[in-house]
Amino acid sequence: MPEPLGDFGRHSEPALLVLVSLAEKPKHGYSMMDDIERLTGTRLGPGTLYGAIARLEGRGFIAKVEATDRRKPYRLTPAGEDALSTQLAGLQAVVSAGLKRIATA
Amino acid sequence: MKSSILIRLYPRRWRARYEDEMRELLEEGPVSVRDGLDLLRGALEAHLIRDLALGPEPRRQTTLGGVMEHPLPTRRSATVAGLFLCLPATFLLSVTMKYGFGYDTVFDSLESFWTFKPIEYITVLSPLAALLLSVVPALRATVEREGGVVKGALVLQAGAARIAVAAVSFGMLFLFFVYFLTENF
Repeated sequence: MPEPLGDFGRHSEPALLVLVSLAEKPKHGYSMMDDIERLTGTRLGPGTLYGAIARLEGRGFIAKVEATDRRKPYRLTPAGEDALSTQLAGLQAVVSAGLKRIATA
Repeated sequence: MKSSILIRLYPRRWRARYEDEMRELLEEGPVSVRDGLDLLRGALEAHLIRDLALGPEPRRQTTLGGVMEHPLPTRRSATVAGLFLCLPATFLLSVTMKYGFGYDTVFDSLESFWTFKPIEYITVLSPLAALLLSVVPALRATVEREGGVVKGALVLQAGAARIAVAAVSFGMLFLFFVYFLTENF
């Protein structure tokens, strides 16, 4: 099965992290940065974060939530949920195979 | 580092969509040199990758002979070009009314105005100025390398209003040229 974020190039990892972050609840940019830092120990730069957001929004994987202030939260769309599930399942298969090979080595 | 300057490096369509929230994000804390470099790289990518320049769709555009690579020019120059046409349009209208329909009041009442040399030159040259003003800002030169072959194209990228102004300007210039030929040869 093709990976939904496969053609994001070097942005596939930040894009995946954004999807994982939004899987919890809608968040705006700064909350995503904090959440991703908590998850991975790495803080995304603002250019990288918005590069990923633009790509994901362009694909319809995330969407803006209507808000009255300047902070615009984003939410995962149904297509984004599917993409995240597929991407994580692919990673899960790689992780399982890797762990199995290490155990038998 | 001044973050607002770095955000200005992003394409206009990107800023229309993300500028407010990026500013909000950057105002949450100090912007490090690393963040600054990250923004620079993001701005460069946003310029290079067309799909990233999201935002409202560009206005409907007409192409003559090429692929669109840039958003449409603003309407300001086309509006100024349109204003340039007011004087020759009035002249041609009054001439048409006099010699075409025998209604000479408009032309005759302005005859001293039309025969005043500077006004005459301005009237004749205005369509040329309008043509240049409407066409030149809408021209885009594109150069592409394809399999070792360099291809160049000059594209007119304009909305309907701009094309209408250019067409009317050209028509007026043509009329003045024909008039000049019939009067002098």
